[in-house]
Amino acid sequence: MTVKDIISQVEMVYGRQSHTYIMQLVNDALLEISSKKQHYTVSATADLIKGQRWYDLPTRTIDIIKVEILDTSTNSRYHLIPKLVDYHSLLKGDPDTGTGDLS
Amino acid sequence: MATRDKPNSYFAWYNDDDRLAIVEKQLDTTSSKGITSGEYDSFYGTTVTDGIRMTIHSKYEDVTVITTALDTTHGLDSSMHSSVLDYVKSRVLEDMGQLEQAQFFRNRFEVSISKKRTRRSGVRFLSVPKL
Repeated sequence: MTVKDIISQVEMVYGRQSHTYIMQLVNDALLEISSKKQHYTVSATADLIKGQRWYDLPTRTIDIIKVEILDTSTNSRYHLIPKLVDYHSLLKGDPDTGTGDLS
Repeated sequence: MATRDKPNSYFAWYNDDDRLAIVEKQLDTTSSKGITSGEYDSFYGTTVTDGIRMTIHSKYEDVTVITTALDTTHGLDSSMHSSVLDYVKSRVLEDMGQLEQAQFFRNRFEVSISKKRTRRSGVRFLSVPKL
């Protein structure tokens, strides 16, 4: 189904409507569905950069399911990595500058 | 630097609202940088193209063209198309001042969303009645 189909169905019953207005309503519907169900899953990749700690999340992220790192030593497979919960083991705390302590 | 074998044993992640942090456990016991082995710091190996892959729950992409398909282009399950239609009708009727009919379609939208199976990979739970 396209937005055009939705516009046709709405106009059949309620008369002529602005396409921009209906498109905005469709976007509102998608936003509400995604926030209530959280079932739309996507993957994104980013370069692992020397000395960089922080990486921007995709703008439409609701939450993170898993993070993997590319193992370049063998057959280029992605390996699941754990979420860090013991923040006390971070070196020098969290610099929060976007770059690492070592660079 | 540590070898790249089994990176899941020494890489870890955490996040704030907008960003993801990738850290690496320091395995060098004779480091000249004053690092205690076992602590985490930023990755300091060679930059790896597409080295990070994250899987996320995402909002749908905004529709900008009226001819794009909601299922193939935007990833919306085709069983939810009628829910979108109900939502649009409820808002149109609301703006037309027909609040009773608007509420009818709004309720139908809410019910269809709540009945939709969340995800194929999800764990299903037994529904145990409260005694």
